[in-house]
Amino acid sequence: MLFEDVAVRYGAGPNILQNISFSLAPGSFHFLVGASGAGKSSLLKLMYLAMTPASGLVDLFGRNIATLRRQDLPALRRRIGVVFQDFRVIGHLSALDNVALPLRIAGLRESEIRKHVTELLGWVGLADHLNDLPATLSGGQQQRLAIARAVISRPSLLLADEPTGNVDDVIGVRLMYLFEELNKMGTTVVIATHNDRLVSRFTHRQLRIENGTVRAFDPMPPHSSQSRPAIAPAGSHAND
Amino acid sequence: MAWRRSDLPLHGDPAARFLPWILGFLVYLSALIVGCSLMIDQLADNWRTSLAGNLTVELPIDPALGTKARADRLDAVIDLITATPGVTGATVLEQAELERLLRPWLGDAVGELDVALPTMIAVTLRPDAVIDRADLRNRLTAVVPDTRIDDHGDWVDDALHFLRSMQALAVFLVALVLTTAAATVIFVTRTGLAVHQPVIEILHLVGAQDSYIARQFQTQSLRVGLTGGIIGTALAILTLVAMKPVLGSTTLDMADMGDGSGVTAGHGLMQGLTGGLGLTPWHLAALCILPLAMALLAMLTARWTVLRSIHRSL
Repeated sequence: MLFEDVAVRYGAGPNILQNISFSLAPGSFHFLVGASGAGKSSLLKLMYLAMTPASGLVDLFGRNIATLRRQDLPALRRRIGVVFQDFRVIGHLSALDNVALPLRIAGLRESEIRKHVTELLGWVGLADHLNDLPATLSGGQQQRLAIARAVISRPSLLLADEPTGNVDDVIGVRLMYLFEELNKMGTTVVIATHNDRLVSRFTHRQLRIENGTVRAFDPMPPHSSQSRPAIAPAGSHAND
Repeated sequence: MAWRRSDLPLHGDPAARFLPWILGFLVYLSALIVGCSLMIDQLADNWRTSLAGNLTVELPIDPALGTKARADRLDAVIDLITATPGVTGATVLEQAELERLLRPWLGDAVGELDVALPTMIAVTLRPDAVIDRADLRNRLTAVVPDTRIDDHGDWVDDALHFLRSMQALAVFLVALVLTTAAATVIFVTRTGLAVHQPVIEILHLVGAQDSYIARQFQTQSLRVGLTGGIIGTALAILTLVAMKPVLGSTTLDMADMGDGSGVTAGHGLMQGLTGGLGLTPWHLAALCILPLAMALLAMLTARWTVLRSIHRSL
């Protein structure tokens, strides 16, 4: 993922983010941090192709998202898993159907879908809730359901917007371990959070949004982060 | 699979709940119009075939002639007519029968009027007969000057023109009804798009193509259109069947043929004109296309609406 001198704005309003330049290597794990309202969600929207930049270049999987044709979007989006702060699970669908959604859209056979979904829901601790509606699940269970839906199709890129915002610290840390497991399997992970206490418990690199732009840095001493993927600064505003 | 399971709970939408009934009512109207149009077509055919086998010969009044001379003149005319190839019969309409025909225009006092009426002869022809009207008229006028032959051609042309106008009106009305149906589907689909926008956004974000989302709406519309179409068509067929006795009673007796059969000279004509009107198996088959047409219209309209609307989103 490559951002070069990107600006973001809504409609004809002012830029809420500008001069954003950084790149993320495949298989890396990053926290996207910043105060509430700093623009973390907007940056994530660019990453999961829910909006286009006002200016600059956003290159995702080798494609400039500003020049993508509409019919190209679904295939790219299937390579991206998104976990929303408010879960956004579909209320009238069972846990199984919620998680099965990306696979059904991708056109997999129903027998395969059921096998994969059942296995994954067991992995996130929801094996006993396959046919339950989201409204009957707790906040933590819904969050895990949302994560299961995001990762069921084994995305290349996993984006999570305040994934621990609605759960207590214990569950929050367990979710982070879950994301780390996914990262170890090769998925690039970006976690947006304003929970500095949570971020401080992990050694992953950070993209910090301050004053409408992004500064990238490694919170750990260089010698202790051998296994960490490097941030490749792509412009003058990316500090490593 | 798509028929049974939907990612969008469209069937529960308040606007969509009434859609089957609205479409059903519109199909009911369409089926009535189409049914009547088909019967009009049948009527036109009846008129053409029935009147093609009839002629009316009118002998002018000649007060100077005595009773015997009038009878001789009539016999000569009848002989001439029946000797014409293709003619199967010629019947003189009696005074009472003429008065009965005139009663709708002149009232019950027609019998008391001291008005001499021309002699009318109802001529029946073989179905495949081709009569040279000019030749027949020349031969008749040689016997009785100023004799007129009426093969009802002008009247039939006017009547058929009227029927065709009614059919054109029917086509316009059906088009209007179908347009209303399409507009209703567009409204309901747009409402559904607005109501389910958050879920649609999720579907997009997990990789759904526009056609996948459109399929959710078009499947629901197909189902609703078919349901409404079947209900509307069934009710319309029941209505048209119930109308058959009314249509069948419009036969007018005109004049007894005088052969003891009880068949009147006008009976055959008018029975052919209006008798036997009703839905044939072909008509029913044509009407059964309506639910399918409505389902197809609803499906394509919903698909077009969804693709056109969500194309604006990223």
